[in-house]
Amino acid sequence: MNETFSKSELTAWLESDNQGGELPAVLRALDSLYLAGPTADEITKSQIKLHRSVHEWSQQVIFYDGFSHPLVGRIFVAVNQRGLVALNFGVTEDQFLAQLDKYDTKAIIRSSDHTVEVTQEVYEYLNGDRTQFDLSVDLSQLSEFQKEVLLTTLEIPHGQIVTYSEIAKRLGNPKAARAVGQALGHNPVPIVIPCHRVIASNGSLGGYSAGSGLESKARLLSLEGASLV
Amino acid sequence: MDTIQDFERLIQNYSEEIFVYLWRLHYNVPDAEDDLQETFLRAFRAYPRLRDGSNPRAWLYKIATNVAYTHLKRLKRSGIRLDEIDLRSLPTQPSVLFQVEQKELLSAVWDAVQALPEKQSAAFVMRKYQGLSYSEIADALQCNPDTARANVYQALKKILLQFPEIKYERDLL
Repeated sequence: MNETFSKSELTAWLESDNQGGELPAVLRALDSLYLAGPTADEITKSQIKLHRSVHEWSQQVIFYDGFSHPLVGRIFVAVNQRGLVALNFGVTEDQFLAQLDKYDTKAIIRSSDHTVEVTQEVYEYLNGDRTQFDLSVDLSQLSEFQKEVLLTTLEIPHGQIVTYSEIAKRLGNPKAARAVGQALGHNPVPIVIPCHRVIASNGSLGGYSAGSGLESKARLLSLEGASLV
Repeated sequence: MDTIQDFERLIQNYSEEIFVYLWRLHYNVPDAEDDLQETFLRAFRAYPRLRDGSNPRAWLYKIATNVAYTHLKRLKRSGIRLDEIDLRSLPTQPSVLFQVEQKELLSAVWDAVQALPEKQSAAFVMRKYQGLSYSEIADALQCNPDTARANVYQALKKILLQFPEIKYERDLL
């Protein structure tokens, strides 16, 4: 194996994808090793597997988007395949994304296409042009109690006000007013599930964790023309 | 589902060559398949942040190279012996007879490639066997095209240095 070859021969071999002629043994060995590959059948199988995975992943994507409205400032919404999973305002985009971390998801993608139904309805609501939402909401991450509280809250009509203890009573557990307040404090989709319509029995606003807190709560209630006692 | 449709087009265009690339780094199907899934999962997550105008092929090679070399390190198998692997070649390639006759040479060449620094072996395989341009290799290895080219030539030079009986012009680089 005594071969001498020139720089130009080496360069020609390296720079061309297909080299004819008699090659030095080392280069033939390299070609032999690295032009080998999986069989056509193995390639096909790997492609099928990959397509199946991508299909699965795409079922586990959260799409989100944000817009601004004078009433609440910057507002973000996030949806998955089942519906709205999160809405928040008075937060930065990063804070909102951090809030989405707890969801089982393969990817979080900013997309106006996938969120347009929600942003449209929320925008109309904030403009005073909509009094109820026609959206699916995914509450599957929440505890049973939280779900019940939120679903009961969802039934409070636009412009109406209900107390924490009234919600507790409707749930058949009149002593649970404090727990109701806590569950509403963790409402993942304020505005759409109108926890701002729930106030304290003494007529004070109670609590509100989204946006600028009670100030936002009061602003939403006044948007709805709700009269506080 | 625009984003996902775009991503599926990316798979259509590149997943086969990425699979072959990964196979060539691992020399077996199960590891190449695992890394193919991992590569495209990472790509899927990062895809929305892929800037318009960037080269998706080079981007996928970048991810695949990271995934494969991390995997190789974890398996501590970068020093895999050629005897352990099943040699096959494409129909157009050097004959099976060559492989049988030159088993020792193949083994020595394989070891020479395995001994290279990651960037050099990756650059070499991408250039010579995956047909990437130097600018694509530069994107994949996050360096400039001159460095990409130097990596490829360094790789070849180091491989040849393992075979002192072979004479070549010393100014290869």
